[in-house]
Amino acid sequence: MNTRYDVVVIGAGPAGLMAGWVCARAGLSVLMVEKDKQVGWPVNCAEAVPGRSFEKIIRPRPAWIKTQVERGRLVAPGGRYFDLKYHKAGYVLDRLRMEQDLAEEFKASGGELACACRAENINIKGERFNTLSLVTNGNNVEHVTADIFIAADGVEGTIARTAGINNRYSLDETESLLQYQLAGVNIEKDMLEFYVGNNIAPGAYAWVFPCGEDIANVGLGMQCDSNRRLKVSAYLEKFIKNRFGKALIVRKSGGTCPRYQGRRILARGNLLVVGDAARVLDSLSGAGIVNALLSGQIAAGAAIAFVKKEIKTIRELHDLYPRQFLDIKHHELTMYLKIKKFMVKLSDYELDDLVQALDEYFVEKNLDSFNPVIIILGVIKKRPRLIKMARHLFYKR
Amino acid sequence: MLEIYQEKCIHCGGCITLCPTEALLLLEDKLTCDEELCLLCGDCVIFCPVEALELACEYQV
Ligand SMILES: Cc1cc2nc3c(=O)[nH]c(=O)nc-3n(C[C@H](O)[C@H](O)[C@H](O)COP(=O)(O)OP(=O)(O)OC[C@H]3O[C@@H](n4cnc5c(N)ncnc54)[C@H](O)[C@@H]3O)c2cc1C
Ligand code: SF4
Ligand code: SF4
Repeated sequence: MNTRYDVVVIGAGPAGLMAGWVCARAGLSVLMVEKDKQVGWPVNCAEAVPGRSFEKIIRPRPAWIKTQVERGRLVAPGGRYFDLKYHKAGYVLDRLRMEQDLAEEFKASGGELACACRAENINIKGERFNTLSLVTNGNNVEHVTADIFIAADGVEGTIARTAGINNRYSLDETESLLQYQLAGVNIEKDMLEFYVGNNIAPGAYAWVFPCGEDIANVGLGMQCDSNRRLKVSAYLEKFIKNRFGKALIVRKSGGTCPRYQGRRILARGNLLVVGDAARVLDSLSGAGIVNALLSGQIAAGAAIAFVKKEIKTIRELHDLYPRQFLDIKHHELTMYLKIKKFMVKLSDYELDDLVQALDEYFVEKNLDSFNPVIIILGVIKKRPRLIKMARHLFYKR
Repeated sequence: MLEIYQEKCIHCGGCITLCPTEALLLLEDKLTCDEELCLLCGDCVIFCPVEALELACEYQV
């Protein structure tokens, strides 16, 4: 390890790998630090991505794809469901494989990867962040300096906080997610299933994502609530029993899906924050892979321009990242947050009604793409009584 | 005291940001809690999806 690089990337998840790879390809000297011993492990993710927006960022290799899905099914508490079909709707990825391949590409482009190396804090000197302290092999402290730092350290997001960026969320804004990978289950290989209901997954949903003929990622999210007696594992086990009867648990994973409501700060000086650390996941579905990749890619573009002195000031840097990213994503992120807030207020009866209305709406319109705003407006036209609830979607914050 | 069951922890990192005092630290192979900093608020316990955390003696004054 040297003591100076053009760019230092913290965290080798999708966001960090993308950022590091793009910078290394452009000829910059890049160090990527990852606190785990191995890139990509443990995988705490359901691994589904929307096909088109994923492919816009990166072309998936066949080995990265566990299954290609063509349908999504939303199941109401009463059992009624509605299917949405379209070509190349999405993929269930092999994230471990994808991340390991990206790490290889990064190294092949000249990047340096240090595993079992945890970034501890970032220090400011004058106007810029100047040194990052790293802990290697458990207790060995080292320091590196760089022109640009990219914090891609996931939900933990500690580096942004040591730089004075508040990316905290509270228990009210958090869901506990638990997922079992099940084998020997009866599933449709080309379909993602989503289940809503206040007794099934309070405040969130349960999912069944196929990983192969009879293997699936089956998980459940639950709004954190100190008054709730049942743990998320109780809900998930009940769900699995109702959906599959008996099943073999291959692996347990889980995590959080912060519904971040504060003002997002994605950069400070020469520190750019990307992916989950920047809280850019979509609060409605909890999906964050595509936004992690995209924010990493755009931040890398900004870093390259800065290191190559095409731009000189921090203001110009921030005009590239986060500005360019937010121009594309800000509207969507706020919209999904509002829809989520609307959804969590619905009773089981209203959810049943909503799913039925969606079904009617889609049969009529024969849509093949997915614009949530248009869909919600269409559905409200069908069910005027939902409008009272939906009002805050469009007017209030 | 906050009890940590390392063998249950799946290293998801979700508890780290919830902690109001940054008492929790997720190292490469284990989760640690700085007892000097911990307020025993219990937020991390409520969150943890795999029940790897527990407040061992609640409200002992
Ligand atoms: C149960 C669950 C299911 C999900 N399902 C989906 C899904 O189906 N589709 C989807 O799109 N998204 C899903 N998500 C969200 C998705 O996993 C994240 O949005 C995505 O992983 C974000 O990528 P990232 O690169 O920002 O962070 P991460 O993938 O979390 O990577 C961060 C990396 O930084 C490392 N790190 C952290 N701190 C430090 C430090 N101080 N020093 C060095 N390294 C550090 C970590 O070890 C980690 O490797 C799910 C999340 C959960 C919890
Ligand atoms: S929330 Fe639970 S499983 Fe996740 S890191 Fe903390 S202790 Fe481990
Ligand atoms: S109990 Fe509260 S203060 Fe203590 S580690 Fe958990 S979240 Fe932090």
